[in-house]
Amino acid sequence: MEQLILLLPLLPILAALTNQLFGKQLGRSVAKISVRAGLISFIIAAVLLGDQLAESHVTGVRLGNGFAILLADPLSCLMAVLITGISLIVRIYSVKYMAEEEGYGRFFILLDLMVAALLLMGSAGDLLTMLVSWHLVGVVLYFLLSFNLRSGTSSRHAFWTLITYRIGDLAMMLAAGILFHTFGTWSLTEIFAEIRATPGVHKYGGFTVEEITGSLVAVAAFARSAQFLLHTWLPYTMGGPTPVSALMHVGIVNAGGFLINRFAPIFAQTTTVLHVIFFVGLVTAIIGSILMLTQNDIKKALGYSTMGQMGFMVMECGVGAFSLAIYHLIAHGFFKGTLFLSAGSAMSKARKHDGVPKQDLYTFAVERKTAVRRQPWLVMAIITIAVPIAIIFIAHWLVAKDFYQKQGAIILLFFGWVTGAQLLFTTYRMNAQNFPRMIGTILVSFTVLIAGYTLISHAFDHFLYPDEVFRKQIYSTATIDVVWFDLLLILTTLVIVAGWILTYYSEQNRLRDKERFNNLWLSFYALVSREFYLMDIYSWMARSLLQLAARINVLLRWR
Amino acid sequence: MDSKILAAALFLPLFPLSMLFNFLFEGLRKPLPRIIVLMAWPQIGLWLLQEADSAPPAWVIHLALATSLLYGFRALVLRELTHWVSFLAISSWTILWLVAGSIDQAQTLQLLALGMSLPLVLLTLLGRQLEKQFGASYAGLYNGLGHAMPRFSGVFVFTILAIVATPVFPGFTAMTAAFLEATHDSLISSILLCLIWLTWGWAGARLIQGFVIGKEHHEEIDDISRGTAWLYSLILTALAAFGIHTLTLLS
Repeated sequence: MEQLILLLPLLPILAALTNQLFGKQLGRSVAKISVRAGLISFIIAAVLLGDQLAESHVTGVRLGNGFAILLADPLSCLMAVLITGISLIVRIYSVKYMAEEEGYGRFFILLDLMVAALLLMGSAGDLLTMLVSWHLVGVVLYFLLSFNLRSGTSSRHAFWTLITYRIGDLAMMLAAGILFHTFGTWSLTEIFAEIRATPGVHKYGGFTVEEITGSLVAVAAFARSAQFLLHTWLPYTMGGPTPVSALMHVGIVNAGGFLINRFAPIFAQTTTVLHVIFFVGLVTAIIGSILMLTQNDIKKALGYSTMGQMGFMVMECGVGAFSLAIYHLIAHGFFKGTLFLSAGSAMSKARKHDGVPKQDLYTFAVERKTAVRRQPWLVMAIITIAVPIAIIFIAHWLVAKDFYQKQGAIILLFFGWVTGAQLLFTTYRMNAQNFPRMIGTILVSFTVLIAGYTLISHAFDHFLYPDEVFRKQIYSTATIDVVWFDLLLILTTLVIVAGWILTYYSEQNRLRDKERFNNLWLSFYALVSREFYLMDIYSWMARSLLQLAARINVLLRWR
Repeated sequence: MDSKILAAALFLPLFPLSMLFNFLFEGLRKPLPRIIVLMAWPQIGLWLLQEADSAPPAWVIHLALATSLLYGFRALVLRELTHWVSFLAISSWTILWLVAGSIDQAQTLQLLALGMSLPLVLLTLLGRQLEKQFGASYAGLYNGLGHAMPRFSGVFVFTILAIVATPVFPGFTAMTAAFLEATHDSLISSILLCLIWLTWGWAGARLIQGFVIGKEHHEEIDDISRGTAWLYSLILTALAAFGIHTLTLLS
């Protein structure tokens, strides 16, 4: 059965080869070959996942003299179903979407190569295969993004992506070098077994090998998942074809979450890396969301939305909820894929008719018409604060009685509460005809969402990490000192509640119309609309480096 | 220091001897002597290194890394193809000082060096094609070749990828072997290698953008023949296959 894993990357490679060699004879049929290969790959992946669901086990297929290992384990099979499933949808969508484009065959060849690289990455059981596939994803993505060979802008943005990915590739290469140097093997299974047997024993450059390689793998994940400071490529790569944007936002950027999960045994033995991951994820989630709200281009807004989601996914890893990150990346993949693939038709329809129903939500959120008669604030305050926390608490308690002993669960519970409370808070001044019904609908949706999220993530936890001791170890690694934890939680709550009070106060006193407040607001808006000037700084750095290279060349007379 | 190591510093060119190689290479006007130099130069260097009585001292390895970074970095702004080939040849051959410490089989090492030189030879030939067509091989002078010369562009892109050590070409194996050696040495050496690889990727992408991307000119341009494209493709496929083979030797 596990031999089937070999077919997963092989089928798209064969499809790409066939289309390259017989492209002229095949004409538009190249798409058929690509779709059929995708369909067979998806069926194989589903069979492999079914086998894992029946009984979770880890097997590997060795190629050649054992230099490449393909793993068939719960994580790789799950990723294979996700990649093959989504890439199949993207291929089918592309058949007609790309029909008018030049380079129809080239597009499907590149798409197949990308899928092959992703599948190889998902099932890589050794560092060499992981390195090769990790590098290739970046290279093929560069050519997919610069698919329109006449567009200098697309090509420039594809280049930014390539360079950012290279930073991650090199961090990955360093990690692989150190791991091989320490353990003398490329096999991930053997390395992880050795780390479990002798944690914290091996040192490199004054640090434990787990700490240094964990940090490097985290950097590789950050570059791939567009974390803050390495995110600038993501919102700008919309110049590529829409199916590529869909595949990128659904599958490729999620690779960071996958990588952290793949190297979970290393992260479980680190001391500070998971805290850094949490912090980077948190900053990314906040900044991505802020930037998303200021965009007037739907695709760019989707790009920043992905950045925010990736931040949250990485943050989940930082609190030790590794399997939750996998569930998150799958869920995000499906809803973001739908958004991307329907963005074109939505824009086309909007040109004829905006399609926005003149309902309560529209008049409240867009036209800013608030209710004249408000609900009693005390009732609303109680509902806002108490109800979400009760729902989240009960949902968590149902799946694990001792969940409150895990800091990670508390943090996610906290964010769930903030989201729920925020949702209810905004309805306070909404002009609803049937207010109790609206509140009821919100609460039912929230309950279904939280219960579903909790139950499924619990199932994912057991499927991906059947070893309970290991699960506990990851959470324990992510734990910080309880005093600091409580202080941070109180501080964050105060900041959020202060934000709510400030919003309420400014709306009540019409601060928006006052000049001082207006200037402050405009300055902040300028900062956000310029995306914190990061692109300008990076462009300046690149220009300076090129000028320096030119000066050295002149100085050395081009020799 | 061993005189053979000193001599090797000219053939696996260390700065400032690298300037001498550059002067020599650019002085050759015909493609054939250039091809011979590209193929033979690193082989002589490796032979000298293997014949030396002692291993190269640490400072030589560090100088090799610095030279590689210097030429990789300077290649970022190069637009003329001969210059680019020459700079990338120096930048990649100097990596062999490190690789020699990681791979002890002389024959494998020499084949790996050959695998690194061959894409440079292909690029020299492609440059010659451009010179015949346009009078110069200069990035940005006539962009948009992706549409005007699709066969040429396809081969050109894969050749660049092979030079900048993309998996699974032999350059990738050489870089992986260099990383293994560098991690034995120090973290600084590994970081230098990262920077070198970054400059290669950057320089390669700039070259592709300068030639392949953009709106094509309207005048008729002859693409390379189908047979020539097949020949280039076969060589590149053989290089990739050899790259995979050398990767297996690292395990």
